[in-house]
Amino acid sequence: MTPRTLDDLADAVRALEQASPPKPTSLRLPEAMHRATALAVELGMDASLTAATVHALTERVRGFLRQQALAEHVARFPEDRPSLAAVALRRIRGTGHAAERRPDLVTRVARQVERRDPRWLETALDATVERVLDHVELLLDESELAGSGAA
Amino acid sequence: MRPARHLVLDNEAAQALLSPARRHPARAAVIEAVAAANGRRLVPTAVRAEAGWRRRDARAADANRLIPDDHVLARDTADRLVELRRAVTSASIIDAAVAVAAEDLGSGDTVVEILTSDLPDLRALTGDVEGRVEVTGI
Repeated sequence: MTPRTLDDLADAVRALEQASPPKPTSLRLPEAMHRATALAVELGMDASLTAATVHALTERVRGFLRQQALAEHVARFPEDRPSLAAVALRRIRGTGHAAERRPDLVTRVARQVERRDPRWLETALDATVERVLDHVELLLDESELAGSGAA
Repeated sequence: MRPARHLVLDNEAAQALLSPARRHPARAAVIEAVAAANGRRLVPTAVRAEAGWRRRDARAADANRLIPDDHVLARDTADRLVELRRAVTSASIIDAAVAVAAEDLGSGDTVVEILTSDLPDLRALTGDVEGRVEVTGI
């Protein structure tokens, strides 16, 4: 069998947009996950357990392709590597997120995280950006509490 | 859960992504936008035609992985494109195709970022898009 490449994955992801017949697949979910998903479907999360699974897998596969593609790109063009601070700031730009008003804080936290984990882009892109923004939110909450005298 | 951030490329951004130059600041800006876009990443097929981006070309492999999805100029899309060009007469077909792609992605509290060199026309074209559209210069 020919080794699969990222290009094969990119082609397959592109095909997700086209209608295709369902392929029966046996999934062995942990019982608790099955129950939680079934309940969430009953409460309106998705139309069915199948739809919920397809939705979750689509996001996971697209995210994996993006991270691997970026990793390959920056390996070939090291000067294109973005800083974690720039990516975190861009992620929240236009969202009205509280940290938009404190780019200095986002930059400081992102630099600390990047020093500890310089390969964040290759290993955990979205999780690292979320970690930076969570930390900044915490600092902003603490600063607000201290400012209101409630701390 | 923070809102999804989608990305749509205009011609200059697409051309930058195809560049094999060792150093290319515009391409680096596209890469930063791809890293920030945790939602969909699209290029309208009209933009690909203008930029000379053929999916089957070996030189397009890197760009294909980074921007896997096309926004196709179908019947309804073409009609909407005509409407937009009537509303913003200075806009090109390519600009309008980018705006229609952003319209299709926009919803609720999502953010759609458009990377373009034509800020005024794209801002005019996307003024009524549902959700938040951020038109960024390249």
